[in-house]
Amino acid sequence: MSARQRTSVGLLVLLTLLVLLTWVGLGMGSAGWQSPWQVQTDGALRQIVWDIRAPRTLGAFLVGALLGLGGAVAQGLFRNPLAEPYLLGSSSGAGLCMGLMLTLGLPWAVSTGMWGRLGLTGAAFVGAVGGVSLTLMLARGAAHTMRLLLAGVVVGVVLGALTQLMMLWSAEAWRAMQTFMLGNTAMLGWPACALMATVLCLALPVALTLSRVLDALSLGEDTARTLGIPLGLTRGVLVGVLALSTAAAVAQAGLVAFVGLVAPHLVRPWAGARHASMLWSASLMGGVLLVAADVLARSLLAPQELPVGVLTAVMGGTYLLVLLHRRAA
Amino acid sequence: MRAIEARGVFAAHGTHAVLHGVSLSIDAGQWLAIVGPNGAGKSTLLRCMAGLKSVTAGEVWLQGQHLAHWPARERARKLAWLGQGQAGDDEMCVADTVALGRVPHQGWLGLPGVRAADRQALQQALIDTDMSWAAGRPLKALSGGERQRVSLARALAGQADVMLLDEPVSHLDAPHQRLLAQVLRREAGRGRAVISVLHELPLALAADQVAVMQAGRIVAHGSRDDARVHRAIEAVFDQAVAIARVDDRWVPLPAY
Repeated sequence: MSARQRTSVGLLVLLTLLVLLTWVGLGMGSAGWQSPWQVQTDGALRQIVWDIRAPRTLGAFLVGALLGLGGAVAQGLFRNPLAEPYLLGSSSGAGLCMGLMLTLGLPWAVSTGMWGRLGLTGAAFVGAVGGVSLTLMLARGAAHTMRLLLAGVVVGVVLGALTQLMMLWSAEAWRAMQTFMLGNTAMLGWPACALMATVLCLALPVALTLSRVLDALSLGEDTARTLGIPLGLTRGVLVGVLALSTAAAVAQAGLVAFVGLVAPHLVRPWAGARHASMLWSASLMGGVLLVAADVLARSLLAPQELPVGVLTAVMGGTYLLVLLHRRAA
Repeated sequence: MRAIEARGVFAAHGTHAVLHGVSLSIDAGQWLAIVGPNGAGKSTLLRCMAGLKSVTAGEVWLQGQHLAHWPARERARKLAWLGQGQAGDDEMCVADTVALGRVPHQGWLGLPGVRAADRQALQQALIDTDMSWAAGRPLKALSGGERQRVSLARALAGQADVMLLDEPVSHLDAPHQRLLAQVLRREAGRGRAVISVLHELPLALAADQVAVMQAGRIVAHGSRDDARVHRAIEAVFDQAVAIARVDDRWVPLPAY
């Protein structure tokens, strides 16, 4: 099978899965399964599907797509297959700034409207850039996998502890952050979807425009530089894409770990290593993974719900161990 | 006008001085080999000439213009670099990796269309390095020597006027070392200037010129037939080799 055929088959399988999972996501509720077709005759169901399940399912897809994109950019940018927003301190940095906003009790920080979402996303963006910068500084660059991983873990733990510390000052912020820290898709509404879709429509084309830079970086920084690529500028833009994607996702759904790590690895066998196809494939895969995780989170202990971040952490953590074991072998 | 020229270059790693006023130049159509013991400053000199390392004093000129005054993309079209680093992404296929050598011609923004010239350069580079058979294979399926040839093909695909190669034969077996010598000679024959850092003395003595380095200085520079160059090679390698004429060519014989 040629590379083009492999990509087409992979894309077809993913899109089919997405359609099926979306259908399940729209029909699954606390009262069990209701076919989404019934919305034509059932007004109450129509409202539930339109106001709750549709934005939640679309939102889960967008969160996953943004994290998948962030992971693919991070792995290409830092030439490290274990790089991802969560492990680079990007998510924990975003979390810290969001915690700060909530603790300070800024009115827009607790609003669920578009302005509230925008404000939180802005704060998360600042935190994400800070988190990645701190990790890279501690790791003295991104060349050494273990150093980068350890630095990311240290930054994640320290920023996480600072976030927890801030929560002690405000009981209200504590409650809000509990949901946030575990990663949750239950509260995703249309404003969150609109914001994430906007960010994805902005970040994905920018990343694709710089896909050859990511390809060239696989040859090493020196070689990329001698190919005439202005590394300082392009790396700055790509870190911006990484931070913006992470911030938009984290600000809406909290800390959803490992999707950014797993998605690029899952698409490489069929999408290839060229970032022109890998970036959007990883984004699509991230979206499908999170919609699947969301459906599982709603169904495993129904009518109770599991926070989606717990599921991705368990599945992603296992995958990371397998990956490390394979690299060590 | 020299193809590339280092004029009194000083360079340091932190506070440790590595190059002490090195001057070296080469004309178009020549192949120059730089030899010397470990730590002599060969790779550092090459990195300075590629613009990858800042010089603390001195200048590097490319085709009659200061290296720093060349716009990045123009410079990339004129000067190709092959370092000791990685060949590329393990999952990326050989053809895609070699095609990255065309970035200076195609640009790095977006996904430029592949022109006939790009296709031709890619195919020629694969043929020259005997890697056409592996065009569709991922790098992870190749041996160290084959990956080295992919890197060389990528450098050749740029069709730059000046080629700087840092240890291009480090993983190559004897037949492919011979292939590399043929490729470099052919590139020089096409009017390119080639500078290669080499540890393999038999290969270095096949170049048009040889520069011998020791402790950050060039101790001899001349034609491969130059007796001063031969004596300098023997001296910098502690007389562990002796350069002798065998079958109409210069070869290093072990002297122990």
